[in-house]
Amino acid sequence: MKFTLKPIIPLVILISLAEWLSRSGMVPPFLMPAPSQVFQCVIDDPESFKKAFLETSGASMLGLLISMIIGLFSALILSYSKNIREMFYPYALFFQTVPIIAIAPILVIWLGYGMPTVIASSFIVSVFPVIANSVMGLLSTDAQLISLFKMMDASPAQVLFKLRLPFALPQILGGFQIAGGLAVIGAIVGEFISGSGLGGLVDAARNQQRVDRVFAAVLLAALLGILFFSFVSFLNRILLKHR
Amino acid sequence: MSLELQSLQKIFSQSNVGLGSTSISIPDSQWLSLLGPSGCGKTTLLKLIAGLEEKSGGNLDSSFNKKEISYVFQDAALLPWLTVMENITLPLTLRGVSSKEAETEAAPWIKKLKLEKFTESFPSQLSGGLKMRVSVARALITKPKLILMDEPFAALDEPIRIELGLELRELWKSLKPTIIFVTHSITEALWLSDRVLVFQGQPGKIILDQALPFGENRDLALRGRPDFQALVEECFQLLRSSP
Repeated sequence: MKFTLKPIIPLVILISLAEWLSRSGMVPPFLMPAPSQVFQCVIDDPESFKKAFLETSGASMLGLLISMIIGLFSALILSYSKNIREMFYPYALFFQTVPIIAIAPILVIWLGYGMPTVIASSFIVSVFPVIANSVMGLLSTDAQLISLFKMMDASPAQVLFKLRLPFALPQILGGFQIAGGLAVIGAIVGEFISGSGLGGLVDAARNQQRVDRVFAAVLLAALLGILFFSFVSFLNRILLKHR
Repeated sequence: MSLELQSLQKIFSQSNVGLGSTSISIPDSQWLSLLGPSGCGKTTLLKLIAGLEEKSGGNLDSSFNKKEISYVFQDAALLPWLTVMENITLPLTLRGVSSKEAETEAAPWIKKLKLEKFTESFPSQLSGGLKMRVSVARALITKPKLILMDEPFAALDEPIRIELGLELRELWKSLKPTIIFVTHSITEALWLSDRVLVFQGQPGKIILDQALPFGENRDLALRGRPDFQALVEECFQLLRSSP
């Protein structure tokens, strides 16, 4: 995908419209503050936002990293044999279906308030796409290429590292891409309960009726998700350049 | 005899097709072509000889060990993430030969197959004909005594097929491996090989085993000769009239 500035156009239109609606009094500021007011609240208290942004970034990054490692490792085991897959894959679905908002309090009980809970929440939400995409990629290796490696008397390790993993790379990276956005969502949910980062900031601002701060934190969380997604897309472009 | 097949058969239980009971002897350095409609067991026979399929019955005595056999697949079967040089040297690097040594081994094949300009290219940057040249170079780098070729020119247009056929025939003359060559083209089979087997039916059986009296040197003029054309017509009628 080529880099383009075209998505900026609807954003500018949307911000202008929101500003006009708010300033004209058509939408009351306690429902939707003017974008300039949201921007101003960040300028007024940059330290809080910077601290929250860095906390959420750190927790999301760690959650995503753990998802990538554990997800890929699980996929390797699951793709190894049909029996293993039939035994354990239904349990992997747990990560897809679990209502994270409901189990976040359990995480707090187990791991306490703070970073570990947020990282665990980020991991739980983001690991499934890594497992699902990687298993799909590892199982889709071209049968002709497997025959070719058999003919060349390749060892199982050579088949894995020189054929199946590189062949599955587009799907694995696709899983990482989806997980990147989800890792931020998981971290924010964890922070709602444990009270740190952008999630904690949203929760506190809501209690204080500071809608401008809620909007600012939500926009920063969205920005973080986009940054993660873009980073993996960039990796995608570099690693799959010749495919 | 380098290859001796006695009542060899492979029937796929689900579809009841495959290779019917087949008995043939294939001497060293013979170029044998297998002709016949889709589903008559030509590829199955190649896979049985390569050890990629388990036989349902009969015997297969082969004097070739696995390292002496190369397989050329229909669609070149190149690894898209490797360069031309890396693809060609793959059989050697998988055997633990250093990249530098493997590249030295590859050099004469690269020259013979006119690939000098493309060693650093990736498969996605090559035409169908060039991909097939890379595939042939990869098959030859191990100096095989038996080369199994499964419709290697099927996806190529006629001029490229003829050019590659001539080059392959020249390589065969200098190296004298045994070649078993699957094709749907009667002309190609009769023009390139020393002997042709025509298969028919499902499961497939040999309906013609014909030695070809055209000598070692083949050129384009042969294709226009009346005796050649008569044999093409005979094979055509045989394939058309068989159930």
